[in-house]
Amino acid sequence: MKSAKNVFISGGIALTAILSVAPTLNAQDPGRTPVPANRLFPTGNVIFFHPDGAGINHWNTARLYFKGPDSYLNYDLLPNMAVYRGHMVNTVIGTSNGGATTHAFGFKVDGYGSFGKDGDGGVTPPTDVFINSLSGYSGSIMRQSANQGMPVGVVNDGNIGEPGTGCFLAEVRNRGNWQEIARQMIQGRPNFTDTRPWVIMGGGEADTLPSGTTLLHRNHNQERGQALNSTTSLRSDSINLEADWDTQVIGGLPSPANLVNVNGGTDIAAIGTDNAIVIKTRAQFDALVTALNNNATYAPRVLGLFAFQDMFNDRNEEDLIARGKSTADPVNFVGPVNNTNLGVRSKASRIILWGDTAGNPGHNAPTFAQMTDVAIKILDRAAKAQANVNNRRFFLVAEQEAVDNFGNNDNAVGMLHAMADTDKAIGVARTFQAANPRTLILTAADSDAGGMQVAAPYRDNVDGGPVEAAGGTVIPGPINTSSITTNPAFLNLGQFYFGFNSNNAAGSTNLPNIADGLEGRGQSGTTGGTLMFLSEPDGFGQKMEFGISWAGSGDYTGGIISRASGLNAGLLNSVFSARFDNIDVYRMMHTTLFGQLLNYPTGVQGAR
Amino acid sequence: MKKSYQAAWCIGAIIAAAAPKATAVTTIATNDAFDLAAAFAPVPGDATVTGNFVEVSGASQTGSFTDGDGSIGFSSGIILSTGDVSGIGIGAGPSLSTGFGGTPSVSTSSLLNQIPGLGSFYSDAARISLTINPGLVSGFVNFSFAYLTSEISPADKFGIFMNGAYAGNINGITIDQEHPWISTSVPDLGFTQALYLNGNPLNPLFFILSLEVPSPGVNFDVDFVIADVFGDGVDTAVFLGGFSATETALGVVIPEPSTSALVALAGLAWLRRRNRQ
Repeated sequence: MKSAKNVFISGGIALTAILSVAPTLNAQDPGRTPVPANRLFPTGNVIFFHPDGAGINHWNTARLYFKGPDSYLNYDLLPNMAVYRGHMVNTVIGTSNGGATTHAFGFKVDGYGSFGKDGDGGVTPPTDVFINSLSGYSGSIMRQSANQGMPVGVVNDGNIGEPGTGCFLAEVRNRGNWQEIARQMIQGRPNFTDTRPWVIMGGGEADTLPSGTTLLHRNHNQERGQALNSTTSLRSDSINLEADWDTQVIGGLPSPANLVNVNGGTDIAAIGTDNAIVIKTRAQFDALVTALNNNATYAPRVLGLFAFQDMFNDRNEEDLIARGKSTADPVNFVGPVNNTNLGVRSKASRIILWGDTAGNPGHNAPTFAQMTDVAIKILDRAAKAQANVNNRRFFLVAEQEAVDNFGNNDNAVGMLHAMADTDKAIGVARTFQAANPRTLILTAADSDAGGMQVAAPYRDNVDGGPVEAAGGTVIPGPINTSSITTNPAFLNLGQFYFGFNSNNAAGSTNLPNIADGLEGRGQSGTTGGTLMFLSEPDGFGQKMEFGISWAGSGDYTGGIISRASGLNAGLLNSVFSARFDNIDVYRMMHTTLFGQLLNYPTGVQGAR
Repeated sequence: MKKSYQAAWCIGAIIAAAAPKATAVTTIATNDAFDLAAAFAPVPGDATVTGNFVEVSGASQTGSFTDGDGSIGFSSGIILSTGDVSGIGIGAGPSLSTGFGGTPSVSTSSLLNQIPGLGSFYSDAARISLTINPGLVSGFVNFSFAYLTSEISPADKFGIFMNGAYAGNINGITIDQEHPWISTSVPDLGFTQALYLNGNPLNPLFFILSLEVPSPGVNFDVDFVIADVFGDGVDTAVFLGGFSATETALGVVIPEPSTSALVALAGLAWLRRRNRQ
């Protein structure tokens, strides 16, 4: 029989036990729990990196190659992470245009044609419709931010109108509408009085000058169906977007019409005094950097156009070499020129992966990391100068398109250097964040380009001992990629090729061998292969070889990890730990820019 | 029960500052979780404190304070109030009473419901959610705490929550809505009008509380929640600051709620076994 005392004690303990177990709503999936309207999140800058096509496999390989298997990238130092889901309304694979539209608007859309809208205006009958963003705003989160008064900017090492940046500023019928995408990005959307972005940098001069105008940059990658090395504008109208940018009215006053971009004439001296500039060359970019360094408050509106179309050369290695996109520059490249050279393998490739060849205006264009650095610097200054305290934060979307396009051309060394460039840009952002902690850095790709994997040689393929003269021991001995023998089937699905002997760049030929080495798989018609990649030392001081094989040349679902640091980054590991998809990218950015975590629109498509 | 409370809090009473000369505290209303976390933990050391979000009915229910040495007992930190923090320290009246009238979210109400006591109709709730990374070395996170009110019996609810569970178990006793620090039956620990006279906090007892770190190096969430019960008038405020992380506790230990639950369940099982014998 229980004593009265025991009843009291046990009852009290039981109460304590019950009360100590936390009841939580939807604890297994908090990201889909309705968010109280009175829940206020801290606000600040948002830097969104979209390393297009970068799965965790790409990051792991970049780490091997540039840092070593036991070291870390800047990407690794972003402490919060979640697995990203990129499916669309009608496809399980995230598309560049559909994914970017979802990132920008917060609704899942038609994956095939959507570009700032939902649906495809290029099919019969057209299905494209305008949509508001999840917040209810008539436009993307970047338009909402800019029109509220926050400085916004985009950086892309592809055409500025690539979906990863273009969908944040343009609403068009189909991603092929390059002219209108560029026009909306620079001048604003039809029937809206949009505030211009503060910074736009990338490629795409082909769409910014009136019809018939001779451009500064040539079409050296044979793109857009145009003749190789053509220099004629692709606009079909008389709009001069560069002059429009250069003379834009700021604060009620027109900017001086310095036109620093005038073809054949470079008014570099004007940079530093002009508050709206157009730049197109390395020299002009460097002049801008100097002006920024010399004047702590200088924050001009910058339109950078460093290429006819894309800043990178998205062809496979063999094709680039065949087209003369290579150099024997001993300063920048020391290493194998052919399969018999067993010299020290340099990280620098002799293949020109970005920009035009020497002597042309597009040569040695600024890197993605350098453009990101300048963009952050300018946007930060512009934000801090805003009169309204609620607008003293900025929004930057930075897309390294090269990861995706090199992956889609099975160019391993190009992909690796694109990853390194992205990682440097993340390092730039981390440095900024250290001094400006009210900043969210968020990364998300929408697909896995090429489905790359690291292939390492088997022990019985080792054909030599450690031979590298400098830089440490090589394990195993150096061999070339022809010794990697796993060979998937070849399947041509029209737009993309799944399997090997694939090459979808215009005018290039099929290739042998399963895996890419330093210079691809070897020249067409041979089975010689090229030297394998060599990792940086591991924890034992050893370097190891590897090749890179591809599932094909398409965009795949793959394995994508979103990482983040700084303001509200913890949401990835708490609210979004169970599910994080492309809509949640929008929700995290909205939370940080506007202080509200919006409810997830389960099963709801956007409308306007 | 009040006697037990007195025993439980005797350590805190010892820690409580000798009454310094009262001077006006300076408050700044803000509901920015980033700023509030920085004010709560200005020098967190190896540990880090991240401000996740704030929930309020009125925009001025949360804020930071400075110049608290002569009135609160510690110099700076943050305030959560069921009223307007801007009224604190300015001699606004015989008692502070601001009613915003809003009801808390379901999730905040579920936290408040874990606090034993009367009533489940809440208004003017203020909540700040923090994530603490304690570092690998620390076993406890410590902070200064003071409670001031113009309301008593039934008192407004205030609770500390670790990973969503009420951290109100101190020395084996679950603190209920009638907090010991406002008990009229406990001499020198109890509520008096002087505590909030004319809106001026005067010499409240402050305690250093030490939360037991659930697992070294692993983030855990801490929510501070305060709310009116049975009506939105007459205010209560808590002052929190001086966060630190240490190997040993600097103040009154509050064990991890899940641990206390396990201890309680184990105790229950032991009693059942004993009763069967």
